[in-house]
Amino acid sequence: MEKLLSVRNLRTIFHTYRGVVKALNGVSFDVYKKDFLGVVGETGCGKSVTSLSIMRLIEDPGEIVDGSVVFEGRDLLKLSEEEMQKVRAKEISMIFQEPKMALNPVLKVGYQIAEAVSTAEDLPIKSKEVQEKVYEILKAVGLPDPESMVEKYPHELSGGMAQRIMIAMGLVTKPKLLIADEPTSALDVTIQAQILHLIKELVSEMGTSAMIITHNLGVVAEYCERVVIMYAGNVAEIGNVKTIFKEPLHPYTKGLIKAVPVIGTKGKLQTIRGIVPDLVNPPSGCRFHPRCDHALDICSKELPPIKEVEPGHFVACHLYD
Amino acid sequence: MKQDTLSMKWKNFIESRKPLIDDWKHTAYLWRKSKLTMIGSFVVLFFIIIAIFAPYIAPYDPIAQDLSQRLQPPSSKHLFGTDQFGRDIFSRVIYGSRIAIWIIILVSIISGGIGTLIGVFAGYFGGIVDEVLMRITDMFLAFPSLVLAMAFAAAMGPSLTNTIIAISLVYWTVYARLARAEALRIKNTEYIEAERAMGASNFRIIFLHVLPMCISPVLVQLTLRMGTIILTAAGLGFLGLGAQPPTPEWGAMVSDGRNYLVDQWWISTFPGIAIAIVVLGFNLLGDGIRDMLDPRLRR
Amino acid sequence: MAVNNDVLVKINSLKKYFPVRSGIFLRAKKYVRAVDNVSFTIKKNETLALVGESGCGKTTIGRTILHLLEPTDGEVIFDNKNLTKISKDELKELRKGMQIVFQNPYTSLHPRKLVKDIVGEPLKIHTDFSSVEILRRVKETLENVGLREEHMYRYPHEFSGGQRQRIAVARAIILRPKFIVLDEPTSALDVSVQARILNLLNKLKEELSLTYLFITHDLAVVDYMADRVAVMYLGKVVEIGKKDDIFKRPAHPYTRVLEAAIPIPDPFFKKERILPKGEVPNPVNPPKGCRFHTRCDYAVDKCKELEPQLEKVDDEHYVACHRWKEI
Repeated sequence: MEKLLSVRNLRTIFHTYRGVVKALNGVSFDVYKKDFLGVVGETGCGKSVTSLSIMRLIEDPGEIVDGSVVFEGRDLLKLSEEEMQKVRAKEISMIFQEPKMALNPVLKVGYQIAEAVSTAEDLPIKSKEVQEKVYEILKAVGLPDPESMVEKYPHELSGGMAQRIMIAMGLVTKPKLLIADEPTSALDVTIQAQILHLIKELVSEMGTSAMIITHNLGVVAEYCERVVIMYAGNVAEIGNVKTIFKEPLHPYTKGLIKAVPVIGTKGKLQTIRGIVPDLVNPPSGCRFHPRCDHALDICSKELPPIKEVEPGHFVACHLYD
Repeated sequence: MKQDTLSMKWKNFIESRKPLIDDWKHTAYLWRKSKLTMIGSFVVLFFIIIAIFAPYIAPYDPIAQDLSQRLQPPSSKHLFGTDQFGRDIFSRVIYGSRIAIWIIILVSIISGGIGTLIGVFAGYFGGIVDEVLMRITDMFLAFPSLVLAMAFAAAMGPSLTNTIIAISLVYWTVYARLARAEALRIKNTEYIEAERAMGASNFRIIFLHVLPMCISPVLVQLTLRMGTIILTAAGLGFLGLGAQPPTPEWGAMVSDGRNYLVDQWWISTFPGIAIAIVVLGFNLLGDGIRDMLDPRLRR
Repeated sequence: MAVNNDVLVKINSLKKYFPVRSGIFLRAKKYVRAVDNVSFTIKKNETLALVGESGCGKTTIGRTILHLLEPTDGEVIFDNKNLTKISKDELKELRKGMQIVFQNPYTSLHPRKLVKDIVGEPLKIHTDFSSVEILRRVKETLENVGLREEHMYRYPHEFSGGQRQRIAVARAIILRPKFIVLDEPTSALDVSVQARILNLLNKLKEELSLTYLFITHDLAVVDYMADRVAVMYLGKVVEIGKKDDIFKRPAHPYTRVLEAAIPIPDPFFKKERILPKGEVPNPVNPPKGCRFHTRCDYAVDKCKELEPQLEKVDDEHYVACHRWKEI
């Protein structure tokens, strides 16, 4: 498979009064062309920081200190701000958890989409082509009655509708990569199913790659093809979704999968002992070792590198040295 | 054995204060990052020190008249010169800080106290209680504050105590509105709901849970307002409605020098500068405190 | 009135409307029918799960049962006493027997109080124990929920979400209540933490013979925790029954849609794909007839006109749908 985006050894830190939060501790993974990748992990594992770092949206007091983000042969971290702005405008789109925050509250929805269309297609905003395109897009994302929809203001929309509009705007430019940061966490389950279906459908139609950031293993299992499991600023395991769920290798992945209740679970749920570490003073070596039942001596000393144990299945754990 | 429990207690004490200490560290970090806040704090600190040590700093009695020394320009003997009764302006300015601080403290306690209580009751009970209390507040807010303070001071007769009462009566509305907004917010939080689910009485909820949470925004507003309080007090003094001569109140001193402003500029100027500097100091400090407590900066 | 010793909580045609003001002078009064004519019972020692999407009224029911909200109509009977008809003092006494754990452990604990004061608060309200006795009980209760003595002298913000939820649970059980409303107790938590809280709640239920009303939107959690399940849609209970009935033989189309919409964390699980249609209508103007008909694949004309009542499917399994036999 051809690589679209390779993240290598990405390190992002945040300066706070308590000290430096080492949010990303050398994150590496690839996104392929036509990929549908899930990035999962618990609160504070760095999954959102990863996506913001790729988009170079980390602001003070945060800082990307090391690593590379190669997108189609160019290192995004080395581009000038103007060039990066072009990448954000045309090649990588991002949608967020709170769609209403991302829409301008005082402009009509139709105008905001038309604006995105006119920038993408280089057409005047009032032109007929743009108007038609707006209706087309609204239909494509499953919004009924586009004529009345364009006249609405963001506060008149439900969360699901707003997220559909964000998706519409994100895909207007036919980007090569769509990053969705918890796109459905603020929505109800029935709406969540609709939105995820929509993303999957549109993305495969356009041949765009997608990176879905989520904390919900169900979403990953049901919609994604590949998955990156993150823990405390590191990648723990990468692989095909079916492989990961059938034969997880990293002790954290194993624990995580067993901790989720599935309909029909019998007996007690298994749990992972301990708590997520403080990233100002993270544990030495493998950051998971204090909670790991299989920790070896080396685990507290050296950070395990990520290696390919079988084709397409990567794990960062000393047990597989 | 006994020592053991003592050291345990001490450890617990330190342990229990750790978040507070952490919080202070964070505050100090933000404070150091803002130059203006630092300047403001030093000015205010300086002002407080002067007020405390006034008798040791001032070279002369601020009230003692010495007609042989009247209207002396600033010199090494009289740093800020003397006024028409031969009183040393420097000593009077120094002692004036005591008056100013006295006014600030009393006004803050009275207006802050009344305002917070009224606001919390209005916000917590809502409905008719809220309507009545807030309409009364609106009545006070409808008048420009200085005009209202003048009216009160004139009605009660000019004196320092009455100045304090007049200013308090004008400013409590600000804190009442603030405390009401805060109480409204807190009343709907889940921990207050949990409290009601336990069966706690309204009295218990208000005084043990809502009120303590309303105090810190009121305190910030109080510091922000301290400059204005000095200014209002000085204004009343200037108009002759405040502290009466020979009390060394800054506003009254500025007023004393009015007739001599052309030839003996120092009589009005030095107390005026004192007012300006202290008001500026309080405003800088107040702005700084507000910024430091801004949740967007605190993380 | 027949006294039924098995039943701990019984609600009868409970209604809770919230007024919404609109129009220029805020005069046009409309109502959000958050809970509209709901009846069910909760037996002693069981966990009844209340499931539905946001705005279906599940949280309002929990609050109304605890009398944190005054019901608009209907009655709540707790331990054979009608909460809508008793005096303030009696209510305070009854509150000892019922508690609540909120969804968000970040807002449900007083941020400026020490853990010992938060957990000890119910004792201070309801008993005249000495402070030593209160401390002893707080310590005991904290140990019961998996926290240690040293945690007593800390503030809530020093704890992780899971630990805070343990503190909230400790506060709820310290008076040894009979009944606890669990309002989405794990939806703000990470999965590995969620598992531990769920296990803790099950353990406490056994040890203290508690009865739970478990409010959630996550059906997988329901399956793990509940004995019986009530599914709500727009202020109405559309289906209620034993857990197995609801999961294996769902009768209401909404229950099926809801089950199909939950993402299953198992990529090998093949399930029937029913993609839910449309969005939840505004509860100020709920659809006429069956409230689900706008989104239902099986809706016929009758559904648009006539509101279905709960019908018996079999023992303890009831459904409110005109066409459940056919579909």
